[in-house]
Amino acid sequence: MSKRVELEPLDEFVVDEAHEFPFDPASPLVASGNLRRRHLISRVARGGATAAAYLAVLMLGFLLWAVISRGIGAISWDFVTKGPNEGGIGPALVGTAITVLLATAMAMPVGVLTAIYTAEYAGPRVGRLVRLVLDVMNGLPTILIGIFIYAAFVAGHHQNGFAAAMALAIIELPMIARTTQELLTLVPRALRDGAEALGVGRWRVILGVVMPTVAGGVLTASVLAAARVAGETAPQILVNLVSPPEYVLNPFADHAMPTIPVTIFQLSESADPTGFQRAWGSALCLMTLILIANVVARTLHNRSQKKIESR
Amino acid sequence: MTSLFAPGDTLASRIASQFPSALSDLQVSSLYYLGAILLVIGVGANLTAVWIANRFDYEKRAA
Repeated sequence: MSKRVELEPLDEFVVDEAHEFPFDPASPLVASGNLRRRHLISRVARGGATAAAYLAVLMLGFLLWAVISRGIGAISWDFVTKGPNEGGIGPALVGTAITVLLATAMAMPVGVLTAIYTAEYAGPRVGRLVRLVLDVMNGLPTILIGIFIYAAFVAGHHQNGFAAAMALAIIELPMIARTTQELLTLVPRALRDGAEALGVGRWRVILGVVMPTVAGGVLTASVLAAARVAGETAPQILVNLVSPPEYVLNPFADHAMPTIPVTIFQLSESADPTGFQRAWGSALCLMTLILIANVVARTLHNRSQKKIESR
Repeated sequence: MTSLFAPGDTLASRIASQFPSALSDLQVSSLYYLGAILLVIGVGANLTAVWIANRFDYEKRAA
């Protein structure tokens, strides 16, 4: 006589509306009160996230509008070529270009070599330590770098463009080094293996195989770092403040080199109301340059991405 | 004075505004001291950030 296994009716498994275990897999999928609440929470969270994203874009829009609407009236050929005595900012534009180029020229080799050392040569412990130091350096208030350069090179000597360039270089260094490190870890293992299998020396592999792969990315990082420090004001107030109202082309002169951020700072501090419009005009010039630099960096980045992917 | 909407100073803004026109050695030294405080805060905050980032590092947690 075979014993029949009695199946219990499924209804008895259903504990409550919220479908706690054990639940009935055959129950119809209709919205319980709980599901409606979850939908509501989901909609609120999604709406909040969307609103925050639009708010961020809106902020940039407001900022652009404020600078353009107030600065556009000041822009003219004379404004971007003449000296401050004729109401222009030509010397400041040239000074910004010189200091930023000098700074990038100093920071780029050191940053790239630092990255090569930590990514290719250093052991894991030293590598971690260098990365930690670079991260901390990246987060330091820039005025501290200004105060350091002031104490080391300006006190007892003169303010000049080179001191400003050194301060900017110290700010750029960790940005370039960290980005290059990240890029170096993305270089496909097979590329290195291929080169090493041919008996190529370590330095030759880095120089001939690894660096060409990341060159575009390194250039992008450098342009972005340069754009970041082009508007850096705090350190320049300490090491590059008092400049003559004329073109200064020698960064080692015994006086400061006029730059855009310092010019904006001085014009907005002064009581002269015509200075405000020139300050807005300078801000517009700086903003335009930085936007151009960012677009250039983005184009370079896209090209280098394609290059890595095609390999 | 104790309002967020009153004009105020931060460590960085005080160094920036007073350093170029500091009159006495004592004032310069005080501003360097402000810089030292700012350095300690900056390094401390960054080390905390690195520590937090390491705690949430999935690769390290899996190992």
